[in-house]
Amino acid sequence: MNKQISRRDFLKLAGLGLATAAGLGQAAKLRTLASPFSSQATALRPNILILVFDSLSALHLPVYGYQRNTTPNMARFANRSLVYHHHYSSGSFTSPGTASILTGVYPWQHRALHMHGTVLDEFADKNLFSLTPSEYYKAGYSHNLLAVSLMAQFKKHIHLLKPTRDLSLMDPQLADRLFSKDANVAYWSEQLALRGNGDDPPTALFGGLIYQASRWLQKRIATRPIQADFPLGVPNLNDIYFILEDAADWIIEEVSAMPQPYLSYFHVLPPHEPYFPHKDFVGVFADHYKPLVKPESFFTQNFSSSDLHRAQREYDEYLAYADHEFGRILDALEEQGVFDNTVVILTSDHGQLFERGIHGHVTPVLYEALIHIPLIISVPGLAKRQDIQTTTGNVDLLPTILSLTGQPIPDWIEGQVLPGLGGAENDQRIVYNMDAKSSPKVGPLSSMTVSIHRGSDKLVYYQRYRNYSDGNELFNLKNDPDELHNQAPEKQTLAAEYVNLISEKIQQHEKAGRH
Amino acid sequence: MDTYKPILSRREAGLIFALVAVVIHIWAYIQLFRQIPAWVLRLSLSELVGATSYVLMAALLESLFIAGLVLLVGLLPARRIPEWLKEPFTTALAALFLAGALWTGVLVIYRDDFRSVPAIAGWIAGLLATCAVFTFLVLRVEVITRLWKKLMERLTLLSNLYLAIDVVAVFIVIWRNLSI
Repeated sequence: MNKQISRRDFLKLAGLGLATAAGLGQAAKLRTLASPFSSQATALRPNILILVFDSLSALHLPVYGYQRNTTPNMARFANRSLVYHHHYSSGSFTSPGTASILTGVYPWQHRALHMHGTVLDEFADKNLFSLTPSEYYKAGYSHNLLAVSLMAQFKKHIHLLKPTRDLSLMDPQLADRLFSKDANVAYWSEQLALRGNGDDPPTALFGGLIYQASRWLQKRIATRPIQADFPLGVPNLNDIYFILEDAADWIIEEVSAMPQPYLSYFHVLPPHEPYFPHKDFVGVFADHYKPLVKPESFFTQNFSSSDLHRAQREYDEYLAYADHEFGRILDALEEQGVFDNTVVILTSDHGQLFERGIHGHVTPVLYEALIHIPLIISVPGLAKRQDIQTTTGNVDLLPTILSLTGQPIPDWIEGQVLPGLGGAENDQRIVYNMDAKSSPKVGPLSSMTVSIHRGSDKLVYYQRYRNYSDGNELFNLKNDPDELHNQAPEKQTLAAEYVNLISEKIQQHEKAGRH
Repeated sequence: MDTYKPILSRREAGLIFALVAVVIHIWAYIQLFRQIPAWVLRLSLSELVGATSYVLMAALLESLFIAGLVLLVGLLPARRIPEWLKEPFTTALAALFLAGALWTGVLVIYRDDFRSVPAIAGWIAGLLATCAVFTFLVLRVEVITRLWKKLMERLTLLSNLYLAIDVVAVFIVIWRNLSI
């Protein structure tokens, strides 16, 4: 029997049909997006806020098992986030580490291998800022001029690249003021002409002295009002004096004011040395904690154990101060409701070493404290903390952000989407790290250190260091997290397998930069 | 009525400028060449040429500035200078500049060692002593006076070469900032 459909029934069916069609369409769109997002709008275009603390080693955070309570606020943030426990920087200092975050490739490809190094020209349009959707408002800031050099290469894709000096107490730089179009090259020259290069004197015989005198005077004027608050010294690097509070205040203000959706990359200097915390944090770790003393490295810088312990304590106190400012940012983000529609990423560009006679991060070695960095990501709708144990690398941030913003992931990217945000967990995932400061920017790499992580295995490969004959190092990080027992002599086959993997990668990219 | 006549003629001022430019440029080139091996590793050819150009442009500006300061002395009216000093004034001024440049170099190279009052006092004493010795030698020892004058004449040619290279460097800097 045929029954005629009433108008009401027809409208109901039509509405149902349309809703079903719309739902199917949305389901198709959401295939590449992260599952935890709570709303459709957020899922399609979340804000992205990346906070980088320079020289922040995961091994100094209680979230990762450190004995001192250096970072209670970062721990608070972790409680609402994805915590990646085996996340590595691809490089041991700012230039290669930051370049890998911004390009999604390892240093053998982007070739920002040197201090103030820049990536190959081809990456000017292949980076975090160029690949995220054009409707995103893109902002960047860094205390660290090495990171500024990199972001300057991408500036045509950045709406706001805030000058370092805007959040500094003094900034004696001239190059970017006078030669903004050629700022990177002009800066290197200014550095050499007026400040010299390491132990090498400046090329300007009289100009260098005049510059130093004026800088001394500027510094006294700029830092006198706050010297009482920073008894060890006012935080600085390369003549840039700053207080972290100013950067935190600006970040808080900017996050509430930026057009949405936004992609922002904010890189602050602490806890990079010199370790000059606010007076409230000086001496907070005058405790009995004594880090493990490890055998001296071939590449020792001749720091004694007591020097290293003191430096580590000072670093921890500086880190506690940095964490306090992070706490203020965290409070403001919560108050503003930022977590409802923003992916907030806390990470670092590299770690810091206080062992084996080595202090800092300008070294050919790649021990864990130097390359194991925190990665803590809060996503809208994530109900509680998730701990990810898969090995990941900072090359993974770019493909993950592209995935989160609905963009295709180009083939040339070496990173993968992070587990928990759309990527798969894989305990055989291979992640690389390298230091090649003495290699040329273009063409085959010469002397270098490359490490490979797979599961709990870590191989460190040393190539062409003068007088170095100790061979490669193989560690089982699960049984030997302190990297004390080199298994390379016993597990030669396994070590050789890893060396072959590294050699293949090096050969694959030896023509990088040559056309 | 006395007309104003500076102690240094234009030719003499040119000799002083040449000395200043040569000293500044020799220093700049030495420090620059020390960086070349590292720069070759990390910079492209274009960046290498650019960085060198900025450094040489800085050397040119420094030469003009420092020579200008030194030549301020040369604006003193001739009538105010003692007779015995009028004739050798240029060579004496050049000798003083050279002594100052040498001790400036010492201060720059060993800058970390000059942080205490005794060290600074020692530097000042060394500078004054060298100034006195150099001035005495060029004013009193005829052989040295003659050689010094000949050297200053020849430095003009060298300074012209340096300045010509600097002008090319300036054009490269301008081009880089207009074309990038």
